[in-house]
Amino acid sequence: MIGKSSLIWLGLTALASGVLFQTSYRVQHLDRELSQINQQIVDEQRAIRDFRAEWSYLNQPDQLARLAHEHLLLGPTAGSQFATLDQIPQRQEDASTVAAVPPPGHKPGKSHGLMVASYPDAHETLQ
Amino acid sequence: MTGIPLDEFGIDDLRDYRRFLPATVAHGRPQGREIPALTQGRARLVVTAAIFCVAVLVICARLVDVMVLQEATVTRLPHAASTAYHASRADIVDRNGVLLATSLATASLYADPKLILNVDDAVNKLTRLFPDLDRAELTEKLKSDKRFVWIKRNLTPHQHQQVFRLGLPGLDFEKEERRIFPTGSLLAHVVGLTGVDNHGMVGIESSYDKTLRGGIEPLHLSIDVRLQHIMRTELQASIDEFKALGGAGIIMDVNTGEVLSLLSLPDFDPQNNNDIPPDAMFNRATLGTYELGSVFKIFNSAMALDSGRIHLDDTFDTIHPIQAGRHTIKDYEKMHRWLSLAEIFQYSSNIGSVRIVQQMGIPAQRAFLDKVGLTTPSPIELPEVGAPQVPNPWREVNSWTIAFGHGIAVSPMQLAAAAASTINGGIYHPPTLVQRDPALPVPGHRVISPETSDKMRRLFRLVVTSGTASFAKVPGYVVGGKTGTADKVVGHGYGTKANRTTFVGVFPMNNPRYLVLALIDEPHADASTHGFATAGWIAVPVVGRVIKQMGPLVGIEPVNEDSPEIHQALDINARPRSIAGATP
Repeated sequence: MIGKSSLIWLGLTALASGVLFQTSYRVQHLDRELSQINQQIVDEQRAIRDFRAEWSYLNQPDQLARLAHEHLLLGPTAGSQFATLDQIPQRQEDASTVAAVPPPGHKPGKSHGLMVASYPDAHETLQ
Repeated sequence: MTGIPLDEFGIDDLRDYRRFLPATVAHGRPQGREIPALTQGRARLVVTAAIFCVAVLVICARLVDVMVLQEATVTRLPHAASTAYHASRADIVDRNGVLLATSLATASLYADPKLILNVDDAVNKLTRLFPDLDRAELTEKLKSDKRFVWIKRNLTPHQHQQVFRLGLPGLDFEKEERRIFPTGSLLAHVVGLTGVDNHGMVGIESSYDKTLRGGIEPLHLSIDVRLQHIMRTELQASIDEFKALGGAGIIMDVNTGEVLSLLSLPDFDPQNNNDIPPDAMFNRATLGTYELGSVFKIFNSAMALDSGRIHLDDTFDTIHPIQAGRHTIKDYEKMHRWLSLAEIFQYSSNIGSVRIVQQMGIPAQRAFLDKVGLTTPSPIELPEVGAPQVPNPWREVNSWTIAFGHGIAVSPMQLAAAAASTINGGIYHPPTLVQRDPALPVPGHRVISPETSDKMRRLFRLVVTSGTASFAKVPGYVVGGKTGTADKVVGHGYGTKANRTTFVGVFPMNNPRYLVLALIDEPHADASTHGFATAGWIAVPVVGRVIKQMGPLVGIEPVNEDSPEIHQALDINARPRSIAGATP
């Protein structure tokens, strides 16, 4: 005789297998997702390696030196540009001394139009 | 049910269903003739149940087998076992982590000619993409009966994408790895190069081949790319200016033996290494051994001072030339008087150097050169290391010429390491291209006493302040050094036109940190040098320019070279510090 308990068990079994089935499919799905992500990570790492090589290639010192020469108002640091804190004079409150200093508009060591600020009688050499 | 006569089922009366039921159900108790049928039915039931049981057990067993026992071996989806990508060959980086050599995954293009639909179309499209491919050769390849032909190896990612866009059937890619040297020829002789099979052939790639293969952690070299660039620019400028054959440059940390820059010019591009001329392939800094001339007076003086038998102010006859066989040993700059040891070093007197070694003797000279590593190949980690040419037998005349750097040939690398040992406090550190672990003690052995080393610093400084190397003066940096101009052997004798100029510079001389060596092979004098092709005019300015740029870069604070402290530390005539400091 099929009793109530049997029915309950049957129902539970059906439920369990249903849940198991679904879990199994979800696991498969997640597994696929995981492997895709892992593959993506590996691809990204490979890309990072490529970029690192490219970064190093683009940062070759002679290339940087050439670009800096073409586009920047910077030159190699000279030993004379170093100073210790106690060599720097105390700040003066007089604002006019600050305004008198021309902005750097030339390469260090090169005479250029803007340098005329320090030669007040040479304005005709401007440009 | 309708329309079907029940008779066809042989059932007369459906109500008489009892006869289908077991006897016990039908009548309460089994009747005599029903018993055999009952047992038979039971037996059948048992058998069926047993079969079912066995089947269920088999399924259970199989389930356990699949789910528990075989779980580990079940092939899951092909996902990456680890999430890290490792190249088959480790990277090489400089001391600041700048990438010098790396392995990149590349794709190589191949074709299956059987699957190519239209050969002419494919050839057209491919040659448009790769103009270097030969049309006729490609057509022949694609029309062949083979199932696999290479079209182009190691595509760039961009080319890879472009081939994909062509959408041609029959083309496919094979994953490969390619060694890339992003800094180009800057470190050609140090890093070296690899062959098509990615095995090291030259330089560190060759000497560290086993470590790099299968390694994950990058190999940290002691090289500083920035200093290498400065050295290369200045050395190349000098080679171009004086139309020299080539040159070598070394920057070394005198306190650790780490090589920060190692250069041999001309060099080569490790990426396009198909036909490199042998001269460019030759490493002048480590493989080439040369008679280096007066720089050997460093070792002659250090040996003499360290013996305690000869002092800085002992004087020697430098008026009379010395006859050695059919050669006469003369001085380049005649002083016509007796010179002290310090002056012999300052004016680079050959005669005086010979007088010194005559007092010291051959065994002392030999033992000293052994100690500073000048008679054995340099321990630098490169396969291209030259063995020094040392006289055998070591006769008296050999000891005379060795005193001023002739009759013995060593590599610039040996010279740099040996010279560093005389001014760093007296310890010889084996030179290395691999960054030292700061936690470990620096290997080395004492060659001269700290007192002798202090005297050597003063001698080095003297050469720059009032000797042959005045072009090495750099504002803010206390430079010292020794020049060497050696006539090159032409045929069977020494030529007077062809020479080799060397300068070993050290800074800051009061507390030495770096040694900068420049060697220029066969320079030609021009108007700017007033017709001189000596080290003082050719090699010294190179080192001066290098120190001027590298000083701020390595963070050495500039000082006033004329301050009393510097004079106190480096002047030959300065009184010893202990006496000067004793007065209250």
